[in-house]
Amino acid sequence: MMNLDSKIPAGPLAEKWTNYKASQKLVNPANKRKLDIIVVGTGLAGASAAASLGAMGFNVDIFCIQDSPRRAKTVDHFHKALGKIMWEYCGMARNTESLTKAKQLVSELENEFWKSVFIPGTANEMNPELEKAYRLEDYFELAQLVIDDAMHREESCGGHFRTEHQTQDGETLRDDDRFMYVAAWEYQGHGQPETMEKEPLVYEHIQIAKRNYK
Amino acid sequence: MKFTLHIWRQENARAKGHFETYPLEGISPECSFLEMLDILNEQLISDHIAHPVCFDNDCREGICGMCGLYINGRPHGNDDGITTCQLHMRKFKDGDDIWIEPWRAKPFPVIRDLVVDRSAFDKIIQAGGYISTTTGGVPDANTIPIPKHKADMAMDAASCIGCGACVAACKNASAMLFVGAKVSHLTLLPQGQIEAADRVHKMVCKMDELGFGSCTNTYACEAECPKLIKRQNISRLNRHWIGALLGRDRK
Ligand code: SF4
Ligand code: FES
Repeated sequence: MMNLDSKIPAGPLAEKWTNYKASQKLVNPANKRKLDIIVVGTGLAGASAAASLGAMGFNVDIFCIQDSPRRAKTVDHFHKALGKIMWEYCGMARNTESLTKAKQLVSELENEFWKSVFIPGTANEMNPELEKAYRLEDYFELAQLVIDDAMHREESCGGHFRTEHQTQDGETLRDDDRFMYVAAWEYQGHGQPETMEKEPLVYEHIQIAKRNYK
Repeated sequence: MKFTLHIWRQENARAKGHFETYPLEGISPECSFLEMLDILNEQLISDHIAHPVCFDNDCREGICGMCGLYINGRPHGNDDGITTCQLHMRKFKDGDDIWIEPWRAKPFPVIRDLVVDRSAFDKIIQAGGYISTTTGGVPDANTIPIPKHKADMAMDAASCIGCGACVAACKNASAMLFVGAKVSHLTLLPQGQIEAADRVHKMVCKMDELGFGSCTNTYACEAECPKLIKRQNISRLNRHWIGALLGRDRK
């Protein structure tokens, strides 16, 4: 037979805790406040140890790291971050270095998106956050393709200004011998590089000229 | 700026709705009303406070008609001739309480929170708000002579963006300003006159069938219309409607 003994101190309920603190054998009650106890810990365990030792009369110093409530990352957070990368590194003036950087940053951001985006609600109700997330998923793919295309086009043409390809006074430098075509990219499945089809630009009635923006 | 928002929350069409209060701080006076709601939602989501507030919007430049909200008792807020997306927070006073509700009209049931189903308007347009014609190449400008004042009236009527503020403002939930604008813009032009009687008949019948109320000439619609559509479009609608009832060329 087993006896359950929870060692509840004797005496009326209102005085039990005071009695217990005074009669607890481990350290003489009078000496408790002379002892410094340092609690190192995080979260609830550290906090409860510090609190109960403090209540018993020990001099407690705590070194606890309590996490601030974690802020969730929204779809908009990622959308804005993606926009910022494209604006900075695949913007109006781009070059091999900035495009390489953009490519890496976008893929890092996409991984982070899949790992930690927070979408409230479910798919069985009106859920604009989920709609936005679906769109953003496409934007990630599109952003990478835009970067690939910009990287491939080694000339400056229209809104695509490659800083490596400019005249001495900063005008665009086209390379009609190599790039007189429209690049159409064909989807090859998720994560696969797209393949390029060239649509040559053939002008029969107009003279190809260079525009001067000055 | 600092605001206390009282927002209508309703989980779906069948659920019971209620007002929920959210304090919001640090809003720039240059912020648009919808951007202010974006900021609120960002906080509601990232601090795990509540499901974000659903509201409709699309163009955010006053042309699509998606963004209608009832703000402090007025459709599209306390300013004339603008949509909700064109309203700015500088129009409010720091510390204001702002009450935000969806359109309230039986033919526009709430889908969630501030989003209502306005497909009743699409059904009215489908009933007759078009011109049946064979399309071809774009004709040269001015091949059909149209008097300037008629072209202007048609253009003014055509600026209706189908937002539904007129219905929401009306104590009878009447759609007369909307239908008046659509009928006018087509019927004022020669291309639209051929089907005029048939069109007005079909559109008015559809409007009644969908549960929109009758017009009692209060003109709250005209006062709240973000595109300043004039009440004269309602008179024109009535004239054409009576003409159609008298049986002129109706099939
Ligand atoms: S008439 Fe005015 S208020 Fe009514 S739907 Fe058109 S634009 Fe909106
Ligand atoms: S969002 Fe298009 S009119 Fe306001």
